[in-house]
Amino acid sequence: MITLSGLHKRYRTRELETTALNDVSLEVGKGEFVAVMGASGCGKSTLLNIVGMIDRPDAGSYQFDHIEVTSLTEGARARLRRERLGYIFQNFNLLEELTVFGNVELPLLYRQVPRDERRRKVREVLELVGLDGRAKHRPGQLSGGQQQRVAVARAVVTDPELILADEPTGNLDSANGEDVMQMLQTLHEQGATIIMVTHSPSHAARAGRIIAMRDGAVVPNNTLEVV
Amino acid sequence: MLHHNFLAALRQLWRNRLATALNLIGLVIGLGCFVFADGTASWISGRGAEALYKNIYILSEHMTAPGDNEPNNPSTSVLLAPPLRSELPADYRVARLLAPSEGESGVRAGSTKLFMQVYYADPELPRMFPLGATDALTPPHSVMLSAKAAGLLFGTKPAIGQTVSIGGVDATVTAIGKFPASISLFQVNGSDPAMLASWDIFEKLHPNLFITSNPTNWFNFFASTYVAAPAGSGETVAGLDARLDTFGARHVPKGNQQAHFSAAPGYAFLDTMADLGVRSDVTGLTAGTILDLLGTVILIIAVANYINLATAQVLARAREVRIRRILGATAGDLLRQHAIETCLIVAVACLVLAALAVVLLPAAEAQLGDILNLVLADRVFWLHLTTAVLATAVAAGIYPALLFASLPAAGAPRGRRSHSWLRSVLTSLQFASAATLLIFALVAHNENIVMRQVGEPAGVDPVVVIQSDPGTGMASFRDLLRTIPEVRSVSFAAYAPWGAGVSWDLLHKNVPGAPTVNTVINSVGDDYFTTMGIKLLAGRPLSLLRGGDQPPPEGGAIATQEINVVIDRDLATQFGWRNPADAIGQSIDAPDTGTLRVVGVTENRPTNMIVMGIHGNLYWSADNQAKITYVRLDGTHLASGLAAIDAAWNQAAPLAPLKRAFASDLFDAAYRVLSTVTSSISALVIPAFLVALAGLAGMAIEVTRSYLREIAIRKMLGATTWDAARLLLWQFARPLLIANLIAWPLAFAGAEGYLSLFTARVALTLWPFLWGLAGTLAIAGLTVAGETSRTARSSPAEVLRAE
Repeated sequence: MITLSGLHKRYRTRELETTALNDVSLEVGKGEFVAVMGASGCGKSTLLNIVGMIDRPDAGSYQFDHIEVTSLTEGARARLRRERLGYIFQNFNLLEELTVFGNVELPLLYRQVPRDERRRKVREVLELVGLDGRAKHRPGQLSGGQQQRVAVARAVVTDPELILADEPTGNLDSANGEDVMQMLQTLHEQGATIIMVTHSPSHAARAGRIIAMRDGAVVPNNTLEVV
Repeated sequence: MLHHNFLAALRQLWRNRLATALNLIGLVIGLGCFVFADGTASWISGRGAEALYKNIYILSEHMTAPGDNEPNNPSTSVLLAPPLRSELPADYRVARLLAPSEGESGVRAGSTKLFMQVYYADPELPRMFPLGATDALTPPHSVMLSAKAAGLLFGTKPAIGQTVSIGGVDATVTAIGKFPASISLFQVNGSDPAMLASWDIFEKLHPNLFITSNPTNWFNFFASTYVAAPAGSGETVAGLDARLDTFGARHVPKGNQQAHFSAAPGYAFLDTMADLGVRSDVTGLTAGTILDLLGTVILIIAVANYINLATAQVLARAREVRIRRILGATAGDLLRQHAIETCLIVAVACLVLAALAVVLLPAAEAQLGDILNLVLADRVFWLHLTTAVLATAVAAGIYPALLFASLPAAGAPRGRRSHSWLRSVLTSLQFASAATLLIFALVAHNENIVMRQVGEPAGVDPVVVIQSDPGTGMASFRDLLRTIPEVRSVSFAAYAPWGAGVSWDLLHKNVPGAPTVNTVINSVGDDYFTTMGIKLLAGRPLSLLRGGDQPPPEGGAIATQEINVVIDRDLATQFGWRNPADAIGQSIDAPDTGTLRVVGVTENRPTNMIVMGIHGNLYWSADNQAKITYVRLDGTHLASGLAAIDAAWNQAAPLAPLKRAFASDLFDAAYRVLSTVTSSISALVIPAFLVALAGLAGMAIEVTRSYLREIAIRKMLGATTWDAARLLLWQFARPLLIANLIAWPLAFAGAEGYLSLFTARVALTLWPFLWGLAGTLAIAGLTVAGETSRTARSSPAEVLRAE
């Protein structure tokens, strides 16, 4: 599904240039559950941003389902994002001014899904994550675990083929973290491809494959197949 | 998506209530000033008056020899209406309206004698225009009075049924009329009518004008002739032209010239106030255009204010944009979202303005009456308003919307400080506009003081100006005045001071190639300078009786001998005679008059206000028949002096009304229009500053917030609270200093242009500019003091812990 070849990414300020990705190449097959691990600053989030089409590499190739993403316009990438990808972040990234329902509904609005269908789908996924009774609450009225479940609901409401999770349990206690991992596993079993950045070896072990990164590059032979 | 964006906009405006309030204030003031300025422009340019003239046409008559091509003249002979009436369909109305060319007429009611503006009209006129009484002029010898005229003539007694005498013809008051507001058919001589008299009175006073067999009477274009077609008749200008095509050939006695008639829309030749002293023939600008420009300037300040605050808000929403982009929002989605926010706040501003208009409408109607109706009937006013609202929404919203849509999905957006250049530029522009208006207002205020000193000099005996003509007894009346003990001096002139009767001429020194000077010409009698208290600096005054100073020849003839003149210091300087004594005996060439010889130089004491591009005053003798009498009274015996003047008049002209006024009152009346204009411009200073300050207040919050961390670190390293305050104040002072650098040349140009209108000018010094700078800094300083103080005193430990 995903083929990355020779990706490079640098961040430049007036005084400093930082290499975030240095000649990264990897493949992720359809239906895989891949965990990406590494120290802070190794390029994990940058890699996820590029795979998630919200950032562009400086060099290299990225093919998503045989589509060369690096040559797409921003509009085309936005279309791909909303139709085929879902995101879950460490700090949830919910919009405070919207209710739980409004946050989960947002991707469907950008896809111009008709109103009745939108309402049906949102109710479905909120029921799935156990928050159907909190639809009218605002994020500030929820616990961390509940907010992350809202984020999960938002990520899956469009039935995405690829789910990107950037340290989804980083701000949660172990119980809530376990709930989120359970949900990811269920989604994987239902056919979703998942790429998850994590610091937790136990959570990484739930993935089918672990990719290790160091200093902007994939550590060779440190890709472990988990049996 | 529209529903989502609308709700998101509402939420956004509510969440940032302070910024919303500041933006609303700015937009309401900006749009409000535009509405005021364009409404005033609409009124003085007569745009809305078209509504008064639906289905009404004004006729023109022009006389041509075969082959001539004369332009239309919106007046006709008084003889046109009767034969025309018989030719048009019965449901058409034809009416004449006439304002006598000599201006005000003498009117008597019992023992009360006054000069009043009297118009004459056919009985049909009150049925064509909304004057308040449709049959008021139907009875023979009837008059309709304005409420003010009724009060002047009859006091508290009911006026209807009373008798007035116009030029010796008695008439009955049949109605108190409601004459349309200024810029209507009645504004023929720039003044409102006091009385509308029936046409038969005019016929009685001027019977010779109505002899139809006399071709000359067809050549005298005294009247405005109106035709009203019934509603729904489909009549047009072309249709009426066709009806009038052969009218002249059929009704006007043949002579060397042919009479032609044509029609135009009734509003086509309105006498507007569009010029209002700005000499549009020279500047190309009308007063209406200038007002529209000023209103637009305030609106631009408001738009700049919005852009400033909205840009700061956008940068604070980077996280929201990132999330929306990740979820699939395109740049177009984000652009639309922000555009709806801008449209919403502009719509709310319009609603607030509309609410204010509803609240203020009763008071406005009471004050402005028909003027308000004229403005509201003006389609161009509504077009301008709609355009202004749409342009505001687009201009204010486009940059913040583009910025909002350009924020990246990944990586940090360019920080708040990287847009500080835009913030500084916009704040500078806002304050530059406000500072320009402030400096201009200060200069206008100083000019007011100078003009008042010229028009109402302190410590001088008052001068009474008599504008009535006692007929053949003018010389004896003036001799009678000279016998009054309270009268210090009597003189005369061709024109009253501060009035419309100004003439000027091009002069040059009597040497080849000398440059020309345009100056005001004053025809004055003996003792004029003594009477007016004008000091002689060199030479001698004019005197027809004692000095043999003859007036220039009449009828455009060139004088065969030198004409003795007195000039003022300003004119002497123009000719290069810096020392007044150097001018004595010098010759000046007046190409249309002859050679003038300077016998005296006076101080500068102009008696005219606005004469653009014209310098100084020249005086030559008038003969004793000059119509305006000047009397200098002993200021300590004013009441008895005035009573003696009245008695002398009653002796010289017992039946004629006396029109007298103090010269200072004439100055006040003349200056009122100009001072209203300058007051209006000065009044715009307040909203301009309010808008700019609203923006500055918003900017203060954003700037102080962005400097919080830096100040905390600086304080940790040893900076004091005062060091922090100075850092912040410099961020605000910098755009204000730039604003004044922009404002000074603009204000200088505007002030120079404004002062060039006046005959007595205040010297343009640096002081108004320095006061403008000080005022700008002080007002801005007070606005930002609170936020600056709070931020400068913040605890570094708390700030860094929160960060």
